[in-house]
Amino acid sequence: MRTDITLNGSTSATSRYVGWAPSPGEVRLSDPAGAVSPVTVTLRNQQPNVGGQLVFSSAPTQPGTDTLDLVLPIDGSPVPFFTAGRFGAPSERDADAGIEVAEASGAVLSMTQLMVRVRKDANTLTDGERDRFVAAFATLNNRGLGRFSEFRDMHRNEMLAEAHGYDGFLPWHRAYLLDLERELQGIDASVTLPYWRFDQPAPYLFTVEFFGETDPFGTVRFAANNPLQFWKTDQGDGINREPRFNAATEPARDQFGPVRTELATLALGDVYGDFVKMEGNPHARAHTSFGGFLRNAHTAPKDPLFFLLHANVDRLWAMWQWVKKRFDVTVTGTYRFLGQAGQANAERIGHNLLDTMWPWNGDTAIPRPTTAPGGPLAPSVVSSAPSSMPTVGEMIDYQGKMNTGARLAFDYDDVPFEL
Amino acid sequence: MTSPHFSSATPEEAIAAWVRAGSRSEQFRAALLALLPEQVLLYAGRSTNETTRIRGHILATFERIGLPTGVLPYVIEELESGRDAYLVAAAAKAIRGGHVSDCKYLVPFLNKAIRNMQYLDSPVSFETYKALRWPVAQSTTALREIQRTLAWLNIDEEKDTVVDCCDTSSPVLRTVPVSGSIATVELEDQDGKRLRFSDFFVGRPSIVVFFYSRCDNPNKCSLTIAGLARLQEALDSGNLKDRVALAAITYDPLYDGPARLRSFGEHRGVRFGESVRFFRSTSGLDTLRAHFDLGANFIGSIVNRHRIELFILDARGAIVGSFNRLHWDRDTVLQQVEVLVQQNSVREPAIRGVAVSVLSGVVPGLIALLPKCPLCLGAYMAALGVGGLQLMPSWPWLLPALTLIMFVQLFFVFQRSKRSGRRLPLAVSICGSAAVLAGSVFLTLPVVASSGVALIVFGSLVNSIPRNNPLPPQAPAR
Amino acid sequence: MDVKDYRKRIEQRLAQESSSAKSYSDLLDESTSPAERVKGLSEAVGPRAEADLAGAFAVVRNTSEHDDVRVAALASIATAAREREDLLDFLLRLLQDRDQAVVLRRAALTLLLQLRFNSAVLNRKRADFISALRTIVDDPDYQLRSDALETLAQEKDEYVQRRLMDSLTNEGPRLVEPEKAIQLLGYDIHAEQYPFLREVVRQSPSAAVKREAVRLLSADPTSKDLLVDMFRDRAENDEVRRASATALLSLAPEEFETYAREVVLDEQESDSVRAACLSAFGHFANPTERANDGPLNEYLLDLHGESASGPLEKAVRDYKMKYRVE
Repeated sequence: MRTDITLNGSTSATSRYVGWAPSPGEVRLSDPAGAVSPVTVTLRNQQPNVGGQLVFSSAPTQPGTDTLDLVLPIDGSPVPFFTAGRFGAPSERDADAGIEVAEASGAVLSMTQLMVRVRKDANTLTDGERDRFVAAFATLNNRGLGRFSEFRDMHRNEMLAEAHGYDGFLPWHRAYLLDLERELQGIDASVTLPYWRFDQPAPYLFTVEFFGETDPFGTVRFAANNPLQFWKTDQGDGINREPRFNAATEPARDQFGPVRTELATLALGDVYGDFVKMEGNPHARAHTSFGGFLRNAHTAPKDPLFFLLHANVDRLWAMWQWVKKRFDVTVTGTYRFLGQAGQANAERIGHNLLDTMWPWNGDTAIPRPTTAPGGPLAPSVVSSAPSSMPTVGEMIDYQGKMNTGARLAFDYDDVPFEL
Repeated sequence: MTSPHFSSATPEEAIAAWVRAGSRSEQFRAALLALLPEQVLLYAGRSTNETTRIRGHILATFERIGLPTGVLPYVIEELESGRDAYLVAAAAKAIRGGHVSDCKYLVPFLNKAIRNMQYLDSPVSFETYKALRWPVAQSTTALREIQRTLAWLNIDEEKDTVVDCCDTSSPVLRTVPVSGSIATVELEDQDGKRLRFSDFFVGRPSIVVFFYSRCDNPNKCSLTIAGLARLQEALDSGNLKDRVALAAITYDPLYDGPARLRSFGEHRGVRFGESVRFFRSTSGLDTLRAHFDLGANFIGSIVNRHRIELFILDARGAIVGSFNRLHWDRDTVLQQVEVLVQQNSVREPAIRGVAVSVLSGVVPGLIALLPKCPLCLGAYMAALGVGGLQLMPSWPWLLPALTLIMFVQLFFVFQRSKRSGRRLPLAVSICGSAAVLAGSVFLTLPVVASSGVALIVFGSLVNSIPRNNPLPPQAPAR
Repeated sequence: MDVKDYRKRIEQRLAQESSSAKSYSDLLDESTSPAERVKGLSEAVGPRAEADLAGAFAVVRNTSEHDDVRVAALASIATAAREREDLLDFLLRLLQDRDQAVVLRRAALTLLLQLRFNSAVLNRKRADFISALRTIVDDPDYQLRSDALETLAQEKDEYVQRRLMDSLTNEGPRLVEPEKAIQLLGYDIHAEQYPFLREVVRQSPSAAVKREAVRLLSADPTSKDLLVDMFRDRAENDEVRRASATALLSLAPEEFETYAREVVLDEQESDSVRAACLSAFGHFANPTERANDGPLNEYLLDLHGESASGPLEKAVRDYKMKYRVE
């Protein structure tokens, strides 16, 4: 007797990645030899407490449990289930988690390797996670020849009104990071975009093996085996980054003091209009904690640290959404303007819930920028959301809590999926 | 005043002083206009910043000395694509050297410039050349100059609708056969494959654009290559895949190696294939520049300034159309290429093929554009100018083409003059056409011929000035 | 981890955070301790009422207040300034006013730089901002000067590019250290600067200055031979050689491959430069060519660096794994 598992709509190994939000799966008897009636099987972790851990449920609206019993028809018809990572137990490497399908007798019918893939605090990555991430990022940049140049071009002065200064700041950057992360995963599927907790010291991140140390003139130095030493943007080699704080021992701070802490950021308010003020402090203050590329929105994406900084901004939004239960796009507490550009009280185009976002929508008509680098948002084999030309609204229910089809297939290690 | 012989060694301050000292005269306007093409020796070997300063200073001066029609393509180019505050401010100032009624058509371009400069504006000074300390006594900005020009035009940006006045593509009649040294210019493509110019550009019609990967104005090279990708899509969906070759050639062959060519194209949606390739010249860059009369100049091997350039080549590799300086329209390019493909498929005799391709491909484009916008017409005719007529001795078939254009033009002027009841434009246009024919056909007198062109343009402009409604009712265009 | 417990813990901490926060008007009050005011104001969301905003300005203008409190009060108007042109104009004036305390002017600049991220109003006033920055390019305060130079360089400002070149060639006053000036030129490198940079690479006794110049020359095809020389010169500083290797990898990948291979095979070479070359091979080389490079691959089987955890050892390991050298 044997079983097959389909995950995220595919039997391919490339789709075997889950986060905290439930992923759809199916199990079926692919070889019913020996069975005379429907077979009761149990789904469970292949190696309890080793590697990434999974929970299972028969519906996305039910809490996940360590095991799940299912009855498989003898004719091979698939039986649906859902699986997710057990909060607090993510993978450290590809395929270190596994679904074991066992008979009541204990006989194992199949084992399916997968990964509980979530975004993590960069300062806590293992060396292996760090090296894979650094290698993927360097490859995406490819000495200035890679697709990274498109991400650099999406965030220049003349495009900033698409991404900054209005309510769409958070959703736009969520799409931006997701697009980048999917490109990285196209290079190495085990990679996620880590975040830099700028309100805490990050001694591991600011080392020559990882994102580099800064010399007295603000040039970032890397270990001789670190491929980020070949980083190139705008025809220029290397990275200018001059922390105005001790990056190994302090949280980010500028002349005004340390960046707003995580708790203080979450305490900004219960509604989106108050929370989005975080674009100033901690977001902008984290930027002005440095001299060099990061200090200026026009040049900031030239430093790969920019994306880790923004992953933390996005994590804070995700955390706020979880704490304040802000996933429902029909209420103004979740997002300020629920309509589209042109309506009364609407924000600038691109910043209203129903507006599509530049550059993924390819819109270059006034008042959008004249070019739209990068094309549509990168697709994922793990999720069909968002659409290739996402709206602001598609960025909000990122875990698919209100609508399972809206799941964007990323999670943060410290922001759970809660029913 | 005649233009002094400025060379690449002339100090920019000396040029600036000469420009400042010039008076409001026809000769001085012509002399300044002659300094605007990128190719002129004056810009060779100068830095980008220096080139920008000189050009901005010249452009701004037209506000004081009057704006000749021939400057309009340069003004529109800056408004449409410019991102340097000094040049855009200068272009906005230059408009105020014209007549209000002639310039209303520039409003859409001024609005484009507002979009371009909204987050890129900078303080500039036209009183202090090359400021050594800041602040200076008098400074302005691009957006301020644009607003001044809109106010001068009596346009309220908030209230008036943004309407594109016309197609901005600018086909230029020039045909140069592939022969001699250009045929053997050696090219290397995005995969490192080497071939001769004629290997790729002879055998089927082609479209070729020029670019360089480190161009920092996305409104130029980046947009050109993204536009090429859209052309490719349209050709593919129109069953013209592989029947029309697409090429992009870099101005910067030392820097743009194969990997960079590929990367620049792929990131803008180009799908490479046998008929879709990017090239750098491994020998004969000067020949290429001369053959296409490229609107670019260099400091060492690096571009200091360039215009947008697209060329259409027939199956023999002869240039039968070009679109330069202003953004080209995909459909107009396609229309011309489709005609060439049809001709190529029936294998016309060589010379006749060129003639027919020009008449059928370019002339309809021109004719299509003629009635829409007098300023475009002025710009195109100026670009055509004496340069185009000088080609005529070796291309006698161009005569009927030009004559046809002029008669079509006269026809439209006549029709409009009937509607408006004004006779002056028609009279001026008839005189202009006569002067062109007299100066370039019956006698070889370029001055007479160019005066004829000017008269035609003038007639066209006067003819199109609306009496009440400043903007022709046309659909907004993207 | 139990999610319900996790939520409860966070909600408790949030409640504490909210209850401990002082009101904005209390923070403006002189009876509150300076330390508490500095901390509270610099973290505050800012004034919500006009009266509080006026109070914040009173603190900023009050020269008898401690500078730290004035700076914190300025920081606290960030959210309000985002959409108010009058406040932005105030900050621009303060930045340029040499009669004001330097610390306050620096704070104005920091705040303006922050607002560049989230104020559409300021971004529409870019020309005024650039003008204010140009005005402080010659400020006696180094920090203000260098911050202004950096921002202007990042904005590709023609005026500042000229001033930096004049500073480097001694045709104008020195504005910042040469290393920094060269680095700033790198935000918008121009062809006319290459001859000077080549001279710097040839002549400068400072490795940092040379390295910065080499970084810029990576966009200059005509400097290729010089970069090859720097890369191959064993007497040269390792950082400069690695910067040259990076530049060559981008400018002339085939030549880089030839010389980098030589370096890796040369046991007299520095481990650091060898590791950098191997790392380039490991990540950016043509896989077929690498897999077929028998002599190098064979050599790498026995190559060890100074320590098992050193960069060379790691680079060898990565290379072997990538190209399956066994």
